[in-house]
Amino acid sequence: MVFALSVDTPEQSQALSREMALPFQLLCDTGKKVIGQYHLLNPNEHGGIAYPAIFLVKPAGVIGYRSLDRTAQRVNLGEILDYLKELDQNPDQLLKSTSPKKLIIPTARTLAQIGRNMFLRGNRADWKHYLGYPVFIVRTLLGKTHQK
Amino acid sequence: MKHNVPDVNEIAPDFTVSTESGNLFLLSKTLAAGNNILLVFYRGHW
Repeated sequence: MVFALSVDTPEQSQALSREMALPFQLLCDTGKKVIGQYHLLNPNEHGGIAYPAIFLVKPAGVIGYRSLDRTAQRVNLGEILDYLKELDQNPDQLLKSTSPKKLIIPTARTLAQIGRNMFLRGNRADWKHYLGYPVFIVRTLLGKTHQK
Repeated sequence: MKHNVPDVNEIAPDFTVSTESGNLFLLSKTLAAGNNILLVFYRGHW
């Protein structure tokens, strides 16, 4: 079963689910309680949201797979699918994501949208995050970030 | 922050949270039904 969690309210989540016709349920951690429990709080954006991350939790409650991602650097989803197939054969399978993440370079349109959001939606406090972004890309290209 | 994030082979912290439809989701209860759960943390609406 798939569950996707964010700080969005049930209303926002319902709208997203409808818009994208999502075949799984969304969880609404509006109080940032779960994100705090999992130490995934990104305090620099939108007053605090989750860093992207994916866990496979087995029926006994043990984490079988984990990928910690960044806004612009995401796990290759093929890795997760391969893991799930292996898990089907061997339920004791464990995997910590180590494969190279896909680097997302924003298009000019995305950058323009970020700028608009910052000024029109009052996300100006996010400047720290966006200012750090080019640095992040360069560091990643130089292989200086430590992905676990 | 990363060294505190629950790791592979550790127990996933249990939690209760509201679903989009306003129901309560309890991780341990859903797991107890024998399901593997893929839990995705995403950034959300902006």
